[in-house]
Amino acid sequence: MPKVNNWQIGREMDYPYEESRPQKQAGAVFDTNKCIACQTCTMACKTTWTSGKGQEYMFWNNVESKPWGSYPLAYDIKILEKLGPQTWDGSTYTGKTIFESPPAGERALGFIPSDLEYAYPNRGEDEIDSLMTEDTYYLRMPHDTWFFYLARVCNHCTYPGCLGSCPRTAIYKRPEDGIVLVDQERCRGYRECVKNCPYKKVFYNHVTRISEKCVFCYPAVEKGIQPRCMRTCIGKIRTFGYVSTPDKADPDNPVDFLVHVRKVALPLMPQLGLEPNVYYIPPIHVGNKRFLRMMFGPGAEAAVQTYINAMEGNDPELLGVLMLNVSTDHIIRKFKVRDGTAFGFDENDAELVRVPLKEPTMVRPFFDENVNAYRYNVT
Amino acid sequence: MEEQGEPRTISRRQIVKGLAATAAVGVAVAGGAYGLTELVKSTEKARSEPDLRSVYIDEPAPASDPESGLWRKASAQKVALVGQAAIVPLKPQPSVEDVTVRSLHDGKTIAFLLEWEDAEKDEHTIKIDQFRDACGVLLGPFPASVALWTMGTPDSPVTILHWKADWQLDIDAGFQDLEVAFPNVSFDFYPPLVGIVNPKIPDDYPEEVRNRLPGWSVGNPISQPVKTSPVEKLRAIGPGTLEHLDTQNATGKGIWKNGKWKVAMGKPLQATDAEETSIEPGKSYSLVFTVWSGLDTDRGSRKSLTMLGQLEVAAGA
Repeated sequence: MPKVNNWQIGREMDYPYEESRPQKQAGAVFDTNKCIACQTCTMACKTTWTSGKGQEYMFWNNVESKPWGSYPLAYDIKILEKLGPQTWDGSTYTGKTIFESPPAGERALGFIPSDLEYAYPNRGEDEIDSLMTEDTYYLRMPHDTWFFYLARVCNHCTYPGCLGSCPRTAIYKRPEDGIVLVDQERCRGYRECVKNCPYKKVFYNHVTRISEKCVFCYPAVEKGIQPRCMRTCIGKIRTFGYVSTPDKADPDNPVDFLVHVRKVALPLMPQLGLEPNVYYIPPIHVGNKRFLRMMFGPGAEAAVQTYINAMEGNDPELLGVLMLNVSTDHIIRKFKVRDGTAFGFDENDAELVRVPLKEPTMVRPFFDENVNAYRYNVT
Repeated sequence: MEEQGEPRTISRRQIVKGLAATAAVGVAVAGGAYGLTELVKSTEKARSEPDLRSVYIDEPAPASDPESGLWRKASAQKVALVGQAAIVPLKPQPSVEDVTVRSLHDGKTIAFLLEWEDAEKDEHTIKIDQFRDACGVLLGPFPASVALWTMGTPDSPVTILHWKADWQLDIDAGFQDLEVAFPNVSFDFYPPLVGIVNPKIPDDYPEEVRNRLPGWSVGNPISQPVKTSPVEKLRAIGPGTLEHLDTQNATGKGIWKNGKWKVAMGKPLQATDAEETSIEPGKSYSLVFTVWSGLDTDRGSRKSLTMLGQLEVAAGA
């Protein structure tokens, strides 16, 4: 089995194919601290892509609550249980990935969920991690009892579980932007991909009897427009961009800045070994650091501190780049923060948007001379 | 073969060793319990590889009639099925011990009859964890390298006739739509079909509204609701290279009764596609029979198959 470099786990690992990175890798950063689970992203994706017959149960984008929620049911608990306890040595993963621990005769560790397990996407929603037992409950940071929202799409992994499992190479990664797609002409519905995507983001279509998945809105991305789930995000938690490997990280690129410079954006369950390209800023209110490490890797605690530091006003650059989250529907390739304003640019350095770090406030006079009346409110 | 990952054709030495021990190779890789006593028992009942004669008859070969009396003119051969232990994902143990096979031809069409035991009829692929029963006949040049056994080689393409139980049911009972598996399904709006509650496929779906059924609209044979034959004609040049051929003129029919499938299928002797195996009376061809059990979640390389054998096509009248 070929060996490939996975920087997220700090070592080489087994993968069925040789390393072959795309010209640029589409990715995103989601700030979990801003997600309100309004599900606008879910609706946007469903309306656009999964409103056909046979796709009813599919949520290429979903938002689940942690710790008790998941879609499909217990997908993460199941794969982590199958994998068993594993270890990190600093930022090097010393455990096994899903391709390094396949059952005999299989390509990777995985399972096919049943229809019933997809039928309860909101199970565990808003459920706190433990019972509130105190008579008086003081809200302190981090929270004694907590939950948070985890919005998820296909991670368009560098080493996808789906692509590595298809026996007839019906799944491919686009060389121009690393978007992972199921070839609708070539798929024959074996569902090896459904089985071996640990994030369960490849879906079997009941009616066409083949599999399909999030396409990262590639028709829009090709035109420099962000995917629908990103553009419509009410909480402005998301930013779509192109992520580089650490050695090629560009500090002017918003995604590279968050992932490689500030290291505040982390991969989802990197121990599975797929090098996923959707990154998460961990929730700062969750006191269970082990849980955060399990979900986002060993960098979780440091990422929380970095974010808190920015909240306290010590990092205008980090604050600025997060203010740029879907402030425009165009893909921001470069950014700059200067004099209390964040600027977003495209790949030709044309300005796409500018956002003030602090929203300007204006106070109007109490009496409006134009209409000869007192204003009801002044701000 | 000892590694998972990139599909490889197995070496001749491994296959010969395997033939000698009848799937001992599969045992070594999969660590299964297919011991020597099992092999001896199976060879008492069934041949280890097919050595079949396609008998000439002067009437139309019953390629779509598994219950035709004409099948009595062909001698039945019981052939052992082994697990698939060459290409990952493996199926270490076969679902069923053997398949009984026959062949007839009439100078124009060659037909095969396959009979095998399957306690449960699996003819739906609607739910996420539903897999269907299927069977296949692989035909290729003879003699051939043993590598042909794993779906042909680039120099020696093989032709595969693949019968599927869910295609059979789509033909016999109409397209098995979503409601078959989910009778109470309710969905308010399938854009752009305004005003049609529970639209039916294909009747409510003219071509211009099929864009939300991408498999169908791009012509994927697996996704076509209207099936003209339950048998698909394919070619392969190695593992993972199966291709649906341009002319689909294979026919067939499968009937399940009392825990047994009986499937007839056939194709014209004369190939109609560039990479298709043409069958000439008087000549021999490489032959493999394969069976998939939906109950065992078989699909793709997860299959039970015979070893590589020979088909001798009788000369015509």
